[in-house]
Amino acid sequence: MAECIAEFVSEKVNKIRWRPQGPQALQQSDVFVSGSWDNEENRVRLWHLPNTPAKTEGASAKGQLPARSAEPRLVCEVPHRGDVKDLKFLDYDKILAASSAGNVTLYKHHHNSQTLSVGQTWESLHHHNGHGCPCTGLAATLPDIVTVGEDGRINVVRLDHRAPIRTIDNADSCTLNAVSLKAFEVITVNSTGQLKVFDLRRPSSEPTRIFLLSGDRIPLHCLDKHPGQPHIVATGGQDGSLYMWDLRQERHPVSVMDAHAWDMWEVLFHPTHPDHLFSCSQDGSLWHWDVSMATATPLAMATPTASTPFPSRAPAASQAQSSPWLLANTGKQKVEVSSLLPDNIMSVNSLDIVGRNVVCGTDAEAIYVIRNINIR
Amino acid sequence: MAANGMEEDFDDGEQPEITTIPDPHLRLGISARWGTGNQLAVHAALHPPQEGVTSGIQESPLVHEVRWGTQEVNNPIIRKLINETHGTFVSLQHHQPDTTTTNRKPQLVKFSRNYRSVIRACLMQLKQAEESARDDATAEEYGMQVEIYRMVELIWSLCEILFVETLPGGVVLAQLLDWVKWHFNEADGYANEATTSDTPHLHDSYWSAVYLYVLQGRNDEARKLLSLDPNRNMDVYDEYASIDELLRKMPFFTLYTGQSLAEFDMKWRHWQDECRRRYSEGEFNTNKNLETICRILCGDEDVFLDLKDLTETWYQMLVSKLLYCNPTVKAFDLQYHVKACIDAYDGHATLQPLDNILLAAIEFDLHQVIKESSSLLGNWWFVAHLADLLFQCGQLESHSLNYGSNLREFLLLDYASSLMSHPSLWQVGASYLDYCPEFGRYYLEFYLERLPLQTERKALKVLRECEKRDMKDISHSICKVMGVRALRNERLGSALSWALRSKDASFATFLADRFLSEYSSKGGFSSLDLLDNLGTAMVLSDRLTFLGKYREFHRLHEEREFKSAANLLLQLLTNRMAPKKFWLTLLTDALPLLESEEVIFSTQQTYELMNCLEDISLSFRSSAYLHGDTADDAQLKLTKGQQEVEKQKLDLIRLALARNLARAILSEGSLE
Repeated sequence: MAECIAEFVSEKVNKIRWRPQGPQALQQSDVFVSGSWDNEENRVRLWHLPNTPAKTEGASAKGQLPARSAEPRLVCEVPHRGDVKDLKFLDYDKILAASSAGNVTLYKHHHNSQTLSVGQTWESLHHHNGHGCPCTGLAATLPDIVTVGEDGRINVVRLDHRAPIRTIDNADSCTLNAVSLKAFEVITVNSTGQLKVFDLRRPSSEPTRIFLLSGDRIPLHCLDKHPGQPHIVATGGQDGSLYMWDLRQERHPVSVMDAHAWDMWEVLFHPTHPDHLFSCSQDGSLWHWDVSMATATPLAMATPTASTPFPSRAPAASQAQSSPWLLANTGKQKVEVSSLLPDNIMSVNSLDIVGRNVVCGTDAEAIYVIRNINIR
Repeated sequence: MAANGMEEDFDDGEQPEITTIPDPHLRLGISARWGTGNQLAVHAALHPPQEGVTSGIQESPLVHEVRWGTQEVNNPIIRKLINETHGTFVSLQHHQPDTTTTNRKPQLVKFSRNYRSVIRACLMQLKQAEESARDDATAEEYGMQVEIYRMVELIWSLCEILFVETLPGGVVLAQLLDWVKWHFNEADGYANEATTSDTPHLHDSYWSAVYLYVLQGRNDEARKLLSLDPNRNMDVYDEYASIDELLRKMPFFTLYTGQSLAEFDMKWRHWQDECRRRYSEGEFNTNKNLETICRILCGDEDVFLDLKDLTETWYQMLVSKLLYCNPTVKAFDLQYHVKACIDAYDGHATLQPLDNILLAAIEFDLHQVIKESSSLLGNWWFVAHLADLLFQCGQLESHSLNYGSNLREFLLLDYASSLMSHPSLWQVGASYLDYCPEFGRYYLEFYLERLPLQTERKALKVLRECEKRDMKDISHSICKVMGVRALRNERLGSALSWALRSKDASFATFLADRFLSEYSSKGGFSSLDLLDNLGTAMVLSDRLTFLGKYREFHRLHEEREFKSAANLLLQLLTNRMAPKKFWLTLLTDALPLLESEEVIFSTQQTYELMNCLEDISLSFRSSAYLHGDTADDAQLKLTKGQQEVEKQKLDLIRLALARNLARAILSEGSLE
């Protein structure tokens, strides 16, 4: 059964990420990094989660709170200028952090001394006429690191290059809220409900594709691409709904599912079990979406496809069968949703998942670790 | 207003606190502005400000930030307490108050315990921080906090016994014993000292420990300790065995064993008579220490006076005394037993503030408890949460104060204000203000409007708080602030998205004009991704609709849909959607369509275009005539050269229209 551990950390957590496994590690990761926001001095902090909750130990001392040993322990921290807007582990010991001051900083974790140090800083990658403005998102497939910001700019930087190797000014007329990289394609979402794809191989700074929400221009806050089928992209926005896009199809989301009451701040596919998805929201909820339940039989799908009056739609529909996510709101796919933080009331800003463990950070200045989630 | 009221009521007789700002310029006079919450920006200023009189300040003047009541909020451990109890507070507000009193109580006790466990955890962390502090100053600071929260815990648990976990019949002694045991464990210290020495029974602390155990009703521990005395002969029935028997047989009243009060009373009398008998028969004459124990058991008043150094405080003495003199005392009768104990410790005059608070609690004077606590602890967290819990228990009568609303709300407002003054805790503060029915909303509106918005994400979060509470004006003004900021950064698209979000028609019109003038000056649109996908949002303002349609015309033109482009253009001109000053541009845009190889505009359409052209020429003439050189609008005032260009344009269009008309008549005629 899933168990939940809370740790109050005296700062609002804006981003949280598990460390990827080490070179020889067989166990799943027990280290994560958190970044704060809205504090007088913000910090990037590295936490270690003791491996097994030892319930027998702590209870011996009278009056002591039992089983404190299972709570995450602060390993080291480093001050960070501006809010921590995004965090990314480049590898085992390199952490990339985006700042609301427009910088991107590379931190190195030294295992021997257990400290974090600044490796490299790109100043004012995002700016309005030279005045820094928030960098909202990061994505990396080494050697390329892509950043987006409130100035609607896309930067491509590389480690050991001081200046960006490519900058697309006015990639968006509004704020870019999140970014993802699919080979040479940069996928962004903005605050007017548009999802754009830029191709880095092309010299043009125009997006190759623009996808948009039908109807209202709901700001999109986050996106994640399917780990196995990168043409499937999940996004969440201001209305709390979950939008699924098929980048091979035209213009509009393939499925829309009503979800959270308020803004969805982060959505993530499970990296190794992509039938599971996690989302968190301003309304304080953290949801686990599961489509691994038996899918509709292909036979049932085939009949209407053959007689459909719009032959052009038919290939798309048959392709869609390849992922249960794209069928999610057709009623042919069972989606199970469970809430992982039933008692929380303050905004959950970020989450990350590794194996069967989820970690999330909230505006209630708490970090929750939920172990042993049911993943089939 | 509220601040004045507070001074009158709470600080009676106390001196106001004076803060000195080391700035020589301030002797000129002081001027101050409110920041967010408990924050003032203070600077030197002449009073009253006079025109032409310089202040005489040579160096650059300073602005001082003055804050109060926020120090503790900055302590990381206290921040944990604040956040953790926030959750408890909210669920306490939401738990169903309509259930009957008997059903509610266990729930309320649970909430109270919950608060206490958080206080406990906080206290332990503070202690740890005090011990591991690197320098004396921090250690001292943490030491102070430890002291404060120790008092908080003591007061809270007493209030819980008296006001929250009230048992039927009002017999409180068992809980009071627990209270004393939990907070004052010197006995264990003494016992530890004694037992770790080689000869426990000769150690100074040995008998102190035994007495204290007995005084606190911890008879089992006392018996264990007594058994260490080697003077005791296990095989024979002696005075040790006798006292052991008395201790063992002492009845305790507990509610859940099912015995009635009368039954217990009878047992108790029986047991105490036995103690008195053994005492008067002189069983313990030979052993002074055992005699003292027996005197305690008999409830001999004098023995408590003798042992007052062990009980340390009047309230510990009170509990011990009640245990042996009046074990079935009711909560409401506690106050009648207090005086003797206080007198034993030099009377009322020497009472410390903490004593006064506990005394007030025992006297069931809740307002006094809260008043004294807030001045002693300087801590809004405690009084606000305690007052709220007591209010939920129905113990705090909602009598209104002469300032503002009732006491609970007053304290919550102050607590929330101290949170709002912190740069990061505004969300928690806002949540507390939600539960202040009378003034919370007004406070919140003021605070939310003044929050600094460093990033869009924060703006969205503040907006969310506004939308949650249906504060349209505030959300409107936040969108405006963000929009204008984007505009200043030359991000028209972003500005427009904020205008659309708040449905701000006038701002949208203004921005649409900016887009159009940008087009006129640069010959192209920016933010195409937004303009092309405006959809239904463009109906927000007429100008925005025009902008959207005009952009659509360009797109149609680019896509070589000339017929529809022409229709759209004509529509824009004839239904007067286009602003007049833009007509010339529109007609110029028509030129390539007029000159194209096939005839696009019909005769009827050409006539309408000509009509528009005449309109413009007329208005040009009349505006030149009417305003001439006196026109103060710089845009209208064209130079000679520009006027020449305009005139040439008009002539060109006229020519094109005429030619198109001719071609249209021909082609329409030939069709027939």
